[in-house]
Amino acid sequence: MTALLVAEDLTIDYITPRGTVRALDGATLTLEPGTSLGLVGESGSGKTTLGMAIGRLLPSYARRVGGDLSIDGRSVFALDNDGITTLRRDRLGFVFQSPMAALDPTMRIGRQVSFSLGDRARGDDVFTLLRKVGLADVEHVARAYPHELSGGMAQRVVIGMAIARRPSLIVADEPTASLDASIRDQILDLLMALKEEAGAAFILLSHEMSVVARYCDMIAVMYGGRVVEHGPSADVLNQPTHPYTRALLEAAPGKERAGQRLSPIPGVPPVLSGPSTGCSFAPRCRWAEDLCHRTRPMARDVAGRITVCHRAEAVAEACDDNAFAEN
Amino acid sequence: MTTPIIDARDVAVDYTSGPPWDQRVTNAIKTVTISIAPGETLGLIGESGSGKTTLGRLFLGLLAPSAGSVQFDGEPIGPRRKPPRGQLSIVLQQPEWALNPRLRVATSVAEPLSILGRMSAAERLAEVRRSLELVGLDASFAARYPHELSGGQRQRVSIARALITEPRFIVFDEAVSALDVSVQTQVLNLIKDLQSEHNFAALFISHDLAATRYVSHRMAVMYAGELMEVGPADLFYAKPQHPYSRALSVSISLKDADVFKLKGTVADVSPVGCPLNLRCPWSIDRCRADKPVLRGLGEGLTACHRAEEVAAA
Repeated sequence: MTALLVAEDLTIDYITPRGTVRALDGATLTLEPGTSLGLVGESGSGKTTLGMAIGRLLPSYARRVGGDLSIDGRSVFALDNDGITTLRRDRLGFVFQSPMAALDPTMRIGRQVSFSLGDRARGDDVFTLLRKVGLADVEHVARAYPHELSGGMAQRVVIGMAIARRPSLIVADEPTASLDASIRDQILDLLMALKEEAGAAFILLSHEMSVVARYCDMIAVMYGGRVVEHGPSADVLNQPTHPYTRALLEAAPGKERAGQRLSPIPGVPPVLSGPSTGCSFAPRCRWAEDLCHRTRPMARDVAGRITVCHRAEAVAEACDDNAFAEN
Repeated sequence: MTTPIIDARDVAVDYTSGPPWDQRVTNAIKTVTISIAPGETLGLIGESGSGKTTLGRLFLGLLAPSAGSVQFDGEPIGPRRKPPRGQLSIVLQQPEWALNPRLRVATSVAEPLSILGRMSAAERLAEVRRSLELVGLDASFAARYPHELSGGQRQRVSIARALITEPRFIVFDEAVSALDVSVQTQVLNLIKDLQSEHNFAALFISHDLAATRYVSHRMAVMYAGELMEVGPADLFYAKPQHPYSRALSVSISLKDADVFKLKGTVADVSPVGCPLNLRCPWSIDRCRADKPVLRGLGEGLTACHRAEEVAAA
C-alpha cells in the first residue's frame, strides 16, 4: 500500500521582524488513502503549519529549512506553480477555521461555488452541491453574499466547495472553532458523512481530544513542532505512550469521578527559535530525567505506534490502571 | 427556607420576526420553572437553539418574559425593573469579542465600578489590582491591551471584570468553549475556587456536559425551550434519566452510543407530544400523543414517559 501523504522530518521556520520562530521542528507523518486522522495539539504546537504545508499554503515569511512533504510520492515543494494549482484543485479540499475569511465578501455564493466546481458547472450543479451540505432554500443562498449567512451556513458552503471536485484528501483546520459551540457536532457530522461518501482521506486539526476520538481512526499528537505520538485512536486513548498525550487526556473533564479535581498541565508550551536540544516537553513532564533534557528523542515504535519519548515504555506501563476510552 | 437568588416561575419567551404583515413567532422558552439558591452553581446544557442563552438573559433582567415572572432575591426583575446594579454579572463566550480592543485591561475591568460611580479613580485601581490577583494575574496586566494576552488570560480578565463589583449572581455563557484543553481546565478550576471562596450563585451555560458537571452543583438539561431533566451533578456522573441527557453524554462515554444516538437535527421539534419524539430512539406511541411533564424520579426531575427504563439501561 502506498501512502497518500508522507511528511518526513519537515522543518519550517517563520522569519518575523522579532526573530526566527521554529514552527515545525522535524515533523514526521504518514497517511494512507481513505483513512481519517486527527491532528491534536494546543495553539502553537504547529498543527496548522503542518496542515497548510500539505497544500503549500504557508505564509510568505515561512522558510522550509529541511525535510519534505509529498503527496502520491511527489514533493509539494518541488512542484511548479501549475503543478501545485492542479494538485490543490483536483486532489485537495481545505476547510478553514473561519468561513467568513475563506469566502470572498464581494462575490455571491452561487458564483464562488460554481468556480469551485470547475468550468462546466451549471446552475443546477450549484444547487445540488448546496443541498448536499444540508442547506435549505438553496436559490436564496446562492444569491446571497457571505455576510448575509450565519457562521454555520457559511461553513457549510465552504465544506461544499472543499468537496466539490471529489478530492482524495480533505484538510479541516479547526472547522468549528469560530462557530457557536452547539452547532459544532452538526458541522462535523456533515463533514464525516461527505468524507465517507467521497471515500477521501481526512485530516482534522483540533485541540479537543474528545472530538478527534469520536471522528477519527488515527490520532497524531503534536507538541513543539513535532508529531510526538501517532497511532490508532483506540490505542492512543487507552494507553498513551507519550507523557504529553497522557497529560492532555487527564486535563480534560470527562473521565474524572464526581468530586475529583482535575490537574491542568503545568507551565506553558515552548516557543522554539531553533532545533530543540532535548525533548521539548521535558520542562513540563513529570517523567523527565537527565537524558530527556540532554538528548533529542527520535521516533520509534512502541506498542504498535510511533512515539517520540525516551521513557515511552514506563509511561505506557503506568497507564494500565487508567483506561480512557472505556466506560 | 432561604430566598433563592433567582426564582423563575412558568416563564416563557417569544421572539417575533419578519415584517408586520407576516409576523413569525418563535417560542424560545416555553414555561420553565427553576430556581437557583445562594451560592449554588446551576449548569445549563443543551444544543444550539434550545434556549440556554435566552434563559441566561432572562435571569439577568435583560429580557422581559412573555409570561410568568423572574425574581431576583425576592424582587421581580426585567428590562423595566432593573435588578440592583453590581449584584449581577456575566462572562461571555469569546474572550476576543468580550473586551474592547482599544481599552487597557485596567479600564475594562474597572468599567462596572465607573458605571456604579462609587469610588475614586485611585480606589478603583486598587480594586482592579485585587480583582486581577483573584484570577491569578499579576498587577502588570492592568496596563496591557487585550491583543497582548493569550486566550486564557483574556478569559481571566473577563472573569476579573465580572467579579469586581462582588456580585451575588454570575452567568457564565459558554465561558470555556473557546479555550485550549489545558487552559480550559485551569479556568474551570478557577471558577470552582472563586465560587467556593466568594460564595456567589452562578448559571454555567454550555453545550459541553463534561465541563458543566465538573463545575456545577445542580444541572438542568434544556431542549426546544423546555427543561428535560433537572438533578444534582452527581446524577450526571452516574446515569442521567432522560434519553436526551444520555445522548448528550454519549460524547463523553462511547458505550451508549448506539442506544441513545439521536436522529435528525435540532430543527425537528415535534409540535405534539414529547418535543423530542421525532429524534428519540426510545419514543413509543404514548410519546407521540402525550406530552411528558417534569416529575420526580430518584434524585432529580425528569420529563420522560420512559425514564425508569432509561435509568435502568
